[in-house]
Amino acid sequence: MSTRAPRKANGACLQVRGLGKSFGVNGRRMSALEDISFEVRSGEVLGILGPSGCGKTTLLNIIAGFLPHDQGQVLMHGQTVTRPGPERGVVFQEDALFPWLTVAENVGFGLRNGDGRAGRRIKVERMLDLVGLEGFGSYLPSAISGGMKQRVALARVLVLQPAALLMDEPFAALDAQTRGDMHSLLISLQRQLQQTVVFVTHDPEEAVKLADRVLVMATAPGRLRQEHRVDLERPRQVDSAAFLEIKRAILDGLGGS
Amino acid sequence: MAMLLPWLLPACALGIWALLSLGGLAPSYLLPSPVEVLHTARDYIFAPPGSAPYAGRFVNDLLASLGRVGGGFALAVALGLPLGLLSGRLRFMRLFLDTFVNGVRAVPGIAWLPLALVWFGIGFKTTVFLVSLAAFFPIYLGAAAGAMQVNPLYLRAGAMMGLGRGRLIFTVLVPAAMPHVVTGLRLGLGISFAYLVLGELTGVPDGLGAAIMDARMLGRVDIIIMGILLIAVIGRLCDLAMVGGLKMFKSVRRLG
Ligand SMILES: Nc1ncnc2c1ncn2[C@@H]1O[C@H](COP(=O)(O)OP(=O)(O)O)[C@@H](O)[C@H]1O
Ligand SMILES: [Mg+2]
Repeated sequence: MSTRAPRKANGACLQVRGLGKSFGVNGRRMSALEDISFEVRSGEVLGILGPSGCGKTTLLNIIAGFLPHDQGQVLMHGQTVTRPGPERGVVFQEDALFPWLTVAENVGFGLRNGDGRAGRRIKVERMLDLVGLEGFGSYLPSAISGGMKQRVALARVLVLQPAALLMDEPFAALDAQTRGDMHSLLISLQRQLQQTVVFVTHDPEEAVKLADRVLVMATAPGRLRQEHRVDLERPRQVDSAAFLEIKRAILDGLGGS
Repeated sequence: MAMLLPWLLPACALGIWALLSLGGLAPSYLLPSPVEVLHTARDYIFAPPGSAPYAGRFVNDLLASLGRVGGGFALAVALGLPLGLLSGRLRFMRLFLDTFVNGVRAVPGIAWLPLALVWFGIGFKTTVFLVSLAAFFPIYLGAAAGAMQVNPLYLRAGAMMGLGRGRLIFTVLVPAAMPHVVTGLRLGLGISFAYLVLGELTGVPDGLGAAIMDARMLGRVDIIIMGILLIAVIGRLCDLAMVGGLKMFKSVRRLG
């Protein structure tokens, strides 16, 4: 595989500064996000936690380049983000695989002709192995489970070696067992690839289990309220005292207003 | 059983037809028997041309008709598909096109016949005009409905993986819209045959529609019935061929 996109060790990968966004609803402006600022270092896993409707999806869509914003800036390695691109891979909350393509074709979708047919196939097979889907390349999305679909969704962006991986409640729709498997997969992938990850969740336990740092959002309008570091070795024991302490602190933050 | 089911209704119709004609319930100058029509068809298709009226005309009529259907249908696809996709995706295109298209659509195709005759005369151009006009609407509407219903996440996913506008259209929008597009194409092809016959009833010298119209003047009910059956068979075969051809697209094979 070719080398990953160059980046400064521990430099800021993603910067969000003073971000504001409002929607027109029934002729009125509704503020969805206000004065959101944070940075994500290269190789860091950032969790954004907040209740439903607080603006998590809106924030991620703006970073991805899907939505315009009203105020502030989004910078990727110092460059202003204006539109979607493969350096910001997105795993969506809902199933967004192309149903007319097989698993392997979905994973190879964004690869450029430069690699040649054989080169693309090798990349796809390696990636399928990496996410635990060896042997499923020829299946259609309609023939695999929800957990496997999210593995494919992960594979089709990781194969493009994104500088940042953006995930919008990617495991929320899965059963507890499958969600746990996906957590383990993500942790192992992140360690192997030193992948920068920004993920959004409404589940405090998921946030503490995966993230190096958790930002807590408040609702209406969406603002950042607190920041928690999680300096625990992975894999993390969700019933250890240290884990529960951080989770408690976050829950306290979420509860009070 | 499932293999036979599609043929049950045609077989019943054939049975009733045979009963009525051979049983003497309907006189043969109104309803010739299946056997008579079969003989007529044999001569029409295989006999040396000129050996009898209608003998051996089939190939010539078929090619003339297919040329008109093909020309008209191709024109309808070339206009209906891109315009439909655009109006399904872009609000200003929908506002721009919808009133006009639906207004024109409200006019029965047959009402265009006099105007087409004045503009284009009798023959190829008039028929192609009528066919393309009639086939345009289902193709346009199918493409518009398909494009409108494409899951917006698919377009975002494509853009996020680095596709530009043009490639998004061909690798995401069209495949995702394909089920509706195919329905529109099939309806369009079906209606093409209806308007083919209408165009050929106006006095063109060749074509399947012309054959059955001439036959009315000559009192040859056997030719009329044969012509109707041939149009049914050819229409169905064209539909099968088109659907088969479209199967070269993954989206047709897999979303069918
Ligand atoms: N396109 C839109 N138009 C109007 N309001 C929107 C739109 N998208 C999101 N919102 C509103 O913005 C707020 C945040 O939504 P969202 O980002 O989806 O929240 P979350 O992902 O945290 O559940 C909600 O109140 C939602 O109703
Ligand atoms: Mg959301």
